[in-house]
Amino acid sequence: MKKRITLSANLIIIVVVTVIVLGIAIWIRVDRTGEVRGTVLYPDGTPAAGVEVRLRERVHNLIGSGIFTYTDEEGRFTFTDLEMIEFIVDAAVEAESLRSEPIRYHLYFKGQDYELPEPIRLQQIRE
Amino acid sequence: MINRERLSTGLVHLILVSTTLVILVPLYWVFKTSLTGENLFAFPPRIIPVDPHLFNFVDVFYWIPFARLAYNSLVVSLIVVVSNIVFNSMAAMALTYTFRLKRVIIALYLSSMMIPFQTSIIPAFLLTRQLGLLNTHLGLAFPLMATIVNIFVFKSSFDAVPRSIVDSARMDGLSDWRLLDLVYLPLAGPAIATNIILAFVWSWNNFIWPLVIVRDVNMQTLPLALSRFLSYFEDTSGQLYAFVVLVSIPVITVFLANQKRFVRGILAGAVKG
Repeated sequence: MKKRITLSANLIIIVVVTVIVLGIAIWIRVDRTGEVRGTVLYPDGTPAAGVEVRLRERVHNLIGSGIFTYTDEEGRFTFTDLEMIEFIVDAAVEAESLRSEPIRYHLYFKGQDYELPEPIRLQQIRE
Repeated sequence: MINRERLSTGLVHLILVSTTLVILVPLYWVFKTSLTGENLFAFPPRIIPVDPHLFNFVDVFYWIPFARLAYNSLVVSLIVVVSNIVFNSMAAMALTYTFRLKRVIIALYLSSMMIPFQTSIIPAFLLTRQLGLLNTHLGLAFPLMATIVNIFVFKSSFDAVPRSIVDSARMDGLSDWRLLDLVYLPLAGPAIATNIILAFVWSWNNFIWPLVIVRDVNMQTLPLALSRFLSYFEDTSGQLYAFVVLVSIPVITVFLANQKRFVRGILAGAVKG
């Protein structure tokens, strides 16, 4: 009887580990689009169209040069084919002296489909 | 009288709880830091983790080839565990017999336990190299494939098997191998569990031997990889402690799954050894 209990404890561990590993593998397979999406807003809260958004990869404490995209009429942007785990996003309208704070994000795996949890807010640059 | 007993029991419980806390607090701190990446020297220290996340664990998998290292550790530990059960039980069974120089052999076993491994590491390395086992799983497992402590754990368990059972098995014509397989080992559950846990923990945590014989990065084991986190020039406390948690989980799990048998095995060794 006691032998059975020990065996079942070991069996439960094997089953739990297998379920966790399979679950993570399925999650990665389903959620791996390589897309990062978000919205950019003007200081008054209205969507910022045609704004340049920059995304830079961060590896340890080294920051890459970055890739760029532009927002659509609703202030939305999408980066595609990304293979990075940690990155920094910011946006700027140099002509209007508007810029956002760079925000750092971390993903759970490379290529994870990700919507930025909060919109990027442009702020007036004070000279 | 009852009050005095209660007071005494309460005092014992208080001491036990305090001791447990003292032991558990560092472990909790490791776990908390792995979830927050908080600086270890932050003051005032926070007991409850603020903004916990799993990103440090994610970084471990991307910064080092964790799966490969875990595979190496697992394969080496499995070789060590299986060979410990096989070789130690054989040695222990031999020691249950009465023969000339038995005491001398036991004295040799016990005295060799006093010699630290560091002193015999060079001969062990030369032997492993002669056998062509450098940078191999078998080579990594080599020095731990039979361990004296575990031989005595088996011996004390085998000594407890009634002589009448062994004699009747002999009369039925069982050979030594069959006797070990059908009589001794089925009655040595706690000793097997103790062997599994001790061999697994020793192998899993082994650092110095892999450091000496492994040159190939792909053959490194998990403890060797710890040093990689210290080579980066940014604060890697979170990732380092996440790695420590990941390395500790298998050992803790194996222990928890077999702890009753382990304790019984150790106690049997303590009483009868």
